[in-house]
This record gives sequence, C-alpha cells and structure tokens, in this order.
Amino acid sequence: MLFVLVGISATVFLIFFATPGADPAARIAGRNATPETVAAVRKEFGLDKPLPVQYAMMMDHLLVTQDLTSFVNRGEKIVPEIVEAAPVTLSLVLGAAVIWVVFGVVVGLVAAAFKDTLIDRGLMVGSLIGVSMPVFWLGEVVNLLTQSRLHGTFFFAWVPALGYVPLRQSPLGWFAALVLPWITLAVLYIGIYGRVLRANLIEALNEDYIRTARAKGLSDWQVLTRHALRCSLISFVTMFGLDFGALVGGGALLTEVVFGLQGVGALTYRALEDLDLPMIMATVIYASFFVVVSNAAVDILYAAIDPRVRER
Amino acid sequence: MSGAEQGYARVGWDEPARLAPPALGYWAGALRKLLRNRSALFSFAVLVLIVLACAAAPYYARDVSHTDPFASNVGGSTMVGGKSVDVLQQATNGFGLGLTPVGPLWRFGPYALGADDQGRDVAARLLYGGRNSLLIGAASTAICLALATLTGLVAGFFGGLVDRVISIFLDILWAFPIYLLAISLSIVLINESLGIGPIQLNGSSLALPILIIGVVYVPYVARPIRGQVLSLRNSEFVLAATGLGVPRLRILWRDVLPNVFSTVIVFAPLMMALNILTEAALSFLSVGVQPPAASWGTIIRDGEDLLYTRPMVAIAPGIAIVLTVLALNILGDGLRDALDPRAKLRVG
Amino acid sequence: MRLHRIFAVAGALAFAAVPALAAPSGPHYGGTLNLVAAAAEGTIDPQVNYTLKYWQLFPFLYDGLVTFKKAGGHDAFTIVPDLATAIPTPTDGGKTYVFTLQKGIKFSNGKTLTPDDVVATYVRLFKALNPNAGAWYNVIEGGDACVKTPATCTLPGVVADDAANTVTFHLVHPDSEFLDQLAVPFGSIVPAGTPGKDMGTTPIPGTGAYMIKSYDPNRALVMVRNPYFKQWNADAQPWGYADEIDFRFGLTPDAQVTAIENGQDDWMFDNLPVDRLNEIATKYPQQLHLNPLLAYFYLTLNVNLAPFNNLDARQAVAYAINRADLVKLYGGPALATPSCQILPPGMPGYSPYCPYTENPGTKWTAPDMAKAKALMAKSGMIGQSVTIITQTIDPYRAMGVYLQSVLNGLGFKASVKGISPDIEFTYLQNTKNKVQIGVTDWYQDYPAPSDFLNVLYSCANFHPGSDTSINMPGFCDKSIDAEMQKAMTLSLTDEAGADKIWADVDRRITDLAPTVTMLNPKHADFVSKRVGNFVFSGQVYFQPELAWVK
Repeated sequence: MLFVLVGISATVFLIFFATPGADPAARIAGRNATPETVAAVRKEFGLDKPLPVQYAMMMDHLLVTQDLTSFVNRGEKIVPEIVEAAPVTLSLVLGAAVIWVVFGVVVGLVAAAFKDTLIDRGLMVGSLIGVSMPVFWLGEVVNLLTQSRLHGTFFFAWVPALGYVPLRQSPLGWFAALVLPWITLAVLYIGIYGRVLRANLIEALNEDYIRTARAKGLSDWQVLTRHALRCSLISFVTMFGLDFGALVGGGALLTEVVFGLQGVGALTYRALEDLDLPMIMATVIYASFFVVVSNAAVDILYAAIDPRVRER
Repeated sequence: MSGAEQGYARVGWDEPARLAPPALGYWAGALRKLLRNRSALFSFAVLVLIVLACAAAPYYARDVSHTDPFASNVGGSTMVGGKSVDVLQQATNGFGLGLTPVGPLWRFGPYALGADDQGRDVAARLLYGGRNSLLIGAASTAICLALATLTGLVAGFFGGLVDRVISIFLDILWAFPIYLLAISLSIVLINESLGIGPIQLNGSSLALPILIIGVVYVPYVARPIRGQVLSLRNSEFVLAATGLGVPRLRILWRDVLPNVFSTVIVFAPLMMALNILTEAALSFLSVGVQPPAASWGTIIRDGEDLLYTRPMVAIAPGIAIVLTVLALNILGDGLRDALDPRAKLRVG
Repeated sequence: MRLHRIFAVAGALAFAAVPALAAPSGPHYGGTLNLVAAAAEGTIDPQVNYTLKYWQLFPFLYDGLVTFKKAGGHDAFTIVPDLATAIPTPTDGGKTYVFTLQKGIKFSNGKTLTPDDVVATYVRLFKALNPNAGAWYNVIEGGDACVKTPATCTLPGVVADDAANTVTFHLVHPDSEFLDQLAVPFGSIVPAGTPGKDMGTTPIPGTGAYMIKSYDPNRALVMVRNPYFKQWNADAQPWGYADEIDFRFGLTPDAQVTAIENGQDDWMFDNLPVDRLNEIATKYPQQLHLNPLLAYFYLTLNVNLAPFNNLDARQAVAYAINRADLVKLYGGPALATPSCQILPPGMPGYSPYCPYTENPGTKWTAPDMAKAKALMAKSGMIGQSVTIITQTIDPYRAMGVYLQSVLNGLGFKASVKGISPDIEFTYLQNTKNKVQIGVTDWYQDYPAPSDFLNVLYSCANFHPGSDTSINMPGFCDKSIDAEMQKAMTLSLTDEAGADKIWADVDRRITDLAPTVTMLNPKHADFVSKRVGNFVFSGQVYFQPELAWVK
C-alpha cells in the first residue's frame, strides 16, 4: 500500500516539475510581476529548494500537519476541501453503483437466459450503445433535455437546479439532485457489466455442476441464479472493485463537472485545469488509496464467492 | 477444447470418453461453425464495409463532398437547391447574434451530414476520422488484451510473490493519473520529441496514444482474468493434469488459456469502444490526433460545443462507434461459439 | 434580582451599540443576488488578486482614496474621490499629493478609518508582494527599496498626519497615471493591523457597502451588507440594492446559461457558449446586454525566432488573416469588430488605422492574399515549420485551428497545440519555450494608452528566460521606447498632445507587426428576468451592487 502511494505521488511530483510552464512561482506572483516579486514568491513557497526537499515538505503538510494550501486559490486548505467533497462523490458513486450492479445483473441474467433471441439481441444493442456514449456528452444531453428544453413539461419540472444537496439538509432534495447523475454514470457500466456477466453465465451454464443441478430437477431460472451466477461473478466483482475504487477516488470527474456536483472528481478536474500541484498531489493520493483498498477487498471477496479460489 | 485432443480422458455425463482424435481438425471445425453463423458473417461484412468506407475517404472528400476536410472554411458557401448558402450562417434575428453551421443536407454530395464549427464537411471528416479511430482503437485494444492476458495468467497461475508484485504494478497503473501525464506530455512534446529506444515520437505521433491507452486499461482486463485463473487453478481438470504430471506451462497453455480466451473475446469490443473514447480525451489534451486531423472522438468533442444547435455533429461519430463495436461484438460472440464445442448447449 | 436587571439592561445597551443594518428601505432594496461562475479565481486579498472576476467585486467591498465612478458608459472612467474628500492637485512639480480623509468611516469590523490605515495599506502592498509593486507603486518614494527588500519596507514616501486627518504621498517623479493606480483595487484601504502577507481565503475587513461573509473557493463567495457602512458619496460607494450577494462556483458555462434561463441564478461570469447565443438573443433579448470593451485579441509573434524574426513574414500573416472569419468564430459581428491596430476604439489616443487590408486606410475590409503571398515569397520563409500555441477553450481553440489553415495557405507547415488556459499565459512569455506564434488577448487595467503600448511593447518589459516577460514578442525598439517616454511625460501637462504621440506609436508598432491584432471584443452579459438596473462600466463591467432583484 505504502509503496503504491509513495510511488505514484513521487512520480506525479516529478511529472509536474518536468512540465514546461507549470512552474507555480510566476503564476502565483500574478500577471506582469517583476522578476524580484517572482523571486520573492519563489522563496516564500519554498520553490527554490531541491525537489526531494519540496516533496517531503509537501507530504508533511498534506498528511502530518494537514495544513497544505493550494497554489492557485491561496489560503484554501486542501485537506478540509477534500473532506467536504468526499461525501458528494460517495453519494454519486454509491447510488450509481447500486443502479449499475442491479441492472447489470438483470441484463446479464436475462440475456443469458434468452440467448440468441430478440431479447438477447436487443439487450446487446442497448448495452453497446451505453458503452459507446461518452459520459460528458450524455450528461450534457441529459441537461439539455431536463434542464433546458423539456424543463417546463411535467416530466422534468421536478428536476432541481444543478448542484449537490446535502443529505442532512433535505433527503428528498439530495435524492432529486442525484437521480439523473446516477443514471448517467451507471449507463456506461450497465453495458459493460451486462455483457461480461452474460458471457460468463453462458460459460458457466455449460459446466458439469450445472448438469448436476438440472439433473437434480432444479428449474432453469433456479439453475441460473443459484448456481451459475455465483460462479460467474468473478469478473463482475473484479471489475466492480476496479471501477468503484477509481470512481470514489475522483474518477467520475466529468460527471461531477457536467452536473455541478462539487465532489473529489470536480476538485481533480480543477486541479488539472489550473495545474495546482498541492491539490493534484492530494487527489492523486486520495484516489490511489481507494484503488488499493478496493482491490484488496475484492481479493478477500473472491474466497466468499467462488470456493475454488483459495490459496493452495 | 476437447480433452480428447490432449490424449487424456475427460469423463462427463453424456460425453463418452474418446481417446481417438475426431475426424475434422479442431480449427477447421471451428471455422465451419463460424461460417454457418449468419449474424457473424453479416457483422464481418459490416466491419469490412466500414473499413473500406474509411479507406475511401480521400475519394469521398474529392469527388463527393468537393471540400478539403482539413482546411477551415469559415467564410465558405455551398449550393443548396440552386441557391448559395453560407456554410457558417449568421443569425438574421436577435441582434444577428450567433453562428450556426449548416445542418445535415442528406444528400450524396457536400455537407451530407452538415458542417462543423470550422465549416468543414462532417461526413468527409467522419471517414477520415474512422481511419485514426480504427487504427488507434484496434492497436491499443490488441496491446491491452495481449498484455492483460499475459499478466493475468501469470499472476493468477503462479500465485505467491509473483502475484503480489504483479498486483502492485496493476494497482499503480490503475491509480495513475493519466490525464496529468497527458497534459504534461503534450506540453513537453511541443518542442521536444520522446525517444523510446531507437524510435522518436513527437506530439502528433499516433504511437503515443496507442501506447498510453493500451497500457492504462491493462488492469481492467488483467484482474478479471487473474480472478478467473485463480478459480480455474483448483478446477478438476487442472488438478487432474497436475496429478498426472503434466508440466505447469503446458497446463497454462492447453487448459487455462482457452478458458480465459472466451473472457478476452468478450472484452475486445468493449475495450475498443472505451479506447476510442479515451483517445478523444487524450486528443483534446493535445496528445494524439492533432488538428486538423480528425478521429471519431475529436469530432464528438467538436460536436459537444454544437450540442444545442447541430447535435448531428456529435451523434454521427457516436453511431459510427456503435456500429463498429456492435459488429465486433457479434463477430466475437460467433467466434466464441465456434471455438467452444460445449457452447451448443442452451438453457431449456 | 436587581443586579440581574442591571446586567440585562447593560447587555441590551451593548447590543444597541452594534448598529442594525442601516440600509435604506424602499422599492428595489433587499433580496439576494445570485452570481455564478465556473470556478473561483484565487485569493480575495484585494492587494494581490489581479483577475477580472474579483476586480468586479472589490469596488463594493473596499474603498480607495479615489475610485472609478460607479456609473455606466463613458462616466465610468471618471476618477472620483472616495475615502478622500477631494482629488488633490499635485504640488511640488506634480510630485506631492495631499489627501484629506473623510471622517467617521468604519471598517466592517467596527474600526474607524484613520490616516495610519492608509500608510499601512501602502506598506502592505510591497510586503504582500503585489504583482505591480515594481512597475506602478515604485513611483512612491522608497518604493524601489521596498521592492528589493519587502520584509523591511517602511515606505517613507507615504506620510500620515493624524491631527490634520491627511495622508501625503511623495513621488519620485510626476506620474499622470498615479491616480488610476490608486483607484484600482490594489489601492483598497485595509485596516492597519492586517498581516503583511497574502491573506488567501481569509476575508480582510473593508469600508465598502458590502463585506465578505465567507469564502470557499470550491463552493461560493458570500457577501452581505457591511453593518458599519453609511453612504457618504453615492458616486464612489452607493448603498447597493441587494441585501446579500452570493457568488456560486462550479457550473459549466452551458449549465450557467440554463440556470439563468430558469431563473435559478441572476448573472453569469463566463463567456456565453457560442451555440447558445442565438437562443438567448431570440428568446430572452431583454436580458442580454452587449457593451464595448477596451481589449483586443491578437497573435503574438516571436520576433527573435524564425520565421517571424522576418518582417515580411509577419506582415504576410497580418495581410492574410480574414478578420471577418475570426469575428465569426468569436460569435459574430455583434460581439466583435475586426481591428488591425493595438489601441482599441474608445481608448484615449485611438486613431483608426488599418494597413493590412485590401484598401489600406482606417477600416479593415478584406484580407489581401496577393500581397501576403508576395511578402511570403520575399521573406524566404516558405516551408518553415510553425507551431501555433493556443488555449484548449474556445474561442482561442477555434481561432488557432482556423489560423493553421491560413498559415498553411501561406506556405508554412503549421501545427496547432492547445494548452490549459491557466498556464498558456505564462507559457507564451517564457522565451525558453520557443513560442513562435500564440493566440492571446489583453484587457485594460485602466483607460490609458500606456497600459497597452508601454506595458506590452517596451524594452524594459522583456525578460528572456522568465515566466513574467509581458512583452511576449520580445520586441525592442529604442526610438519607439523614447517616444513612449515622451508621451508619458507630456501627458502630465498636455493630454491632447500626448494622445497624438500615442496614436503615432500605435501606428509605428502596428507597421512593425510584432503582434497581429485580430479583433476588439464586446462583452455579452446575460441576466435573469428579475434583474433590474443593469449598469455596465467599461472599467469593472457589470456592477452587482447597482442591480436590483426586487
């Protein structure tokens, strides 16, 4: 874990300083500043120290004393911003995850059960359309319809202004503001997960133990759900670990930006736009942490799903 | 793959133990099955059609659309029903504010799908863009699947320290901020070129996005494969083979890989779609397809700014992507069905 | 019991000492004005922040000794006394200004304004590393020393006289732009104890009609009425209609437009997306306001690097670009006008001049490709590789892509690279980046020709190898420098004469084409239905404090 975090953060630090034009001193100093002003700023922010020292100082400010401030929005404390943004991203990703897991499983099951029929074909086309739609575009289209063109109609008059409503402030408002972002984010994953699950189910249905189950007299549906599904979930769960970890860490940045949700993804997006090194470091470490934890959790989950997966 | 091929017996409920090899070769039999699959053939034809259309892009641009799809045509005009119409039309109402590109004209001629924000012919750019998208998509998908299969197999099968080391690298890869890398690379490459061994890559080299996208998605395929291998490792036939003294690499090659192959085929069209879209993001950040060149992804990006007035600019490449991915998917399904002799069985 | 009651009464009296909001009542007063932008823009320290976004807000949060009149149209460029009772006539050959302060003005923390606050403010300018300390404020005696060692800055050139309630400024030399430099937000007077470093997200108390209640760069900047404010000069600091002004961050420009259409927000900062322009102009014409700006969009050409170290190549570009097409890409003729020269219309010293058109004269009509191609042939630069640097956002991106076609048509091998807007500005300045040609713009700090010509084209502002070298082309002509100095000195006594010299400088630099001007933009503001009294100032643009929502 530590290796991953240090490895990534150090690499990011180096990439930043290797980028021409990214040097923060002049940008902090302001337009048309004199060279003396820039030099003074450089000294004040410790930008004249050697890189390893700067890295260590930044990590110290970020993780130990937790008073790291942004280079672009001076005085803005990074850690509290991330803490405030985390629930937003969590709300978005959890809700979307519920939707895509449920619908992914349904789509996979139905497609496998009705293999090669019109239903299967229809679900396939739907899934692939979902995968091929860029999420930013989809979000913009959703906004175009629900906020702008059809906002007046009774279908979408309930759609609130873009932005996050804290759960404690108004559960109904929280839900209403997140429904459309959930669906937008989930569409892509329903497609992928549905396809993968279908393939794995079809594989599993040809296994011996399925024949055993059917010979025992179980119905097709029971066979599917009670036996085949469990052994087909490996890929599903693995991908879920990867996707969930990445999204919670700020991977849903385009969704957050297009729906005005101030989550960790939006912070990441801002940081990249502004090349704000402290914020970049913080979001990268935050994201890496969740990726590692997520994947570790999945490994533990394997044993529960598929009893064949055990250390020899 | 039938166990009979291996010369050792595999006993199932309704499969008699066969020690003699079947009459037809395995691959020949698979090919025949594929050729009998009408949907697979149809989608193969569609794919060929798409590739041919994109290859014919220069002819389309020259003979059908009569425009240069790479030159800005902001002040240009085109003939519609005998009248000359501005390609970028100034509004005539509301202060004369607002510029709208000409919309789809639905003809086998200039501006069949309309113009983009620089006045260029969208249909012509779509065909040229297909070349880049198909190339980048196919190459990066191939790299991704190859690397992912290798790492997934090795990690899952050998376990222990090997697995742990590979998993850490997969974690680093998955958590790595590629957009930061892309931004940085794009600026560095403005004046310098990147040397990888004997090859020099500059900012507009397509090898760059191919490599980046190919590598970045490896964990997404490698980990599921690894998971599958972990469960296969303890399956009966692997245990039986090990018990019989078959060398591990042979088991990997003959038993585990074919089962994993099916997963790989499922992922291929999905990764193709994801890769084409990721290429759009990278090109926007100036790594990869540079203006005035096009790819389906960059045309979608151009279309996002025209969403409220000319949605076709973003929809057309989207449809192209869906068609390609759909055809790939059906073909892949057919391939899987052909290669797996047990796939004939259906539920109910 | 009795003790209790005494304490209660004392408590009530103490409470009464804090004034209730003394805002006037009447039609239009009250309510909350909702502003929206895609992102915050850095520190809210008025002596450090140098962005258009917050320069719109500081004028009603703080006061300077003088300020720009809070009015619309041409009036908005007039400097009026603010914390000073009157604008003093400088004595001692133009080097001494004595300002008498208004009495009874309080900061938003209750402290009364004294001359010491003014002195402390100007010392703080240097300590907090104000970007223009070395360019503008070193005209004050002791300023240069303060720029060198800000930590020990004492600034002897600013003297407070508490008895007479005056502040005296001693300048090193007369400066016709001194009052402008006091009027911009850098000159906002802050309380004497304010720390001498960039205060970042911590609000500094001010004397303005409003004060900052909270600032979260990720969410919103909330401003409420200053409880200690009492209007003393309506031209400089009026009451303001709304009780609260909320500046929200985080919506994309498309989402902002939709929010205003739905009445969820009242005004948006970001540029209107080009594909929404017609929708707004036809469905909500009363809510759209178009106003001219003192600004220009131009191409910066590196005069020290091939191919644009060749005058013919530069002029070829100037003749070849179709400014009408560029205007189209910006949004159309209602939003921009073509231009060939550096000074924008409305700027003192502006005299229409356009050599780079089919019929050279005062106005641009059409590109002259024949002349451009002839110049290219003469230059010997045909076949040269050129990289155009632009931003990833429109209209810069679209202009860059269009330009690539033009340069290719001239015989160059052109490629275009988009960079994040936040770093493009510094990237273009640093000679180490070997930028050949870039798409950029410049907006005025205050309406003086030197703000365009001297700042962007003087030898002194070219610093090779530095991220702050605002003279991007690297242009240095000693005789033009001398002429600019002459104009700046002459403007102290003879404005009209100076303007003539500026016009001449404008023409000379335009002819040498270190930069190629494309257009002058107009500002489009889209407000919600309920907003009334939209007043546009050429200096600060939309003035939120003058708008009402009721």
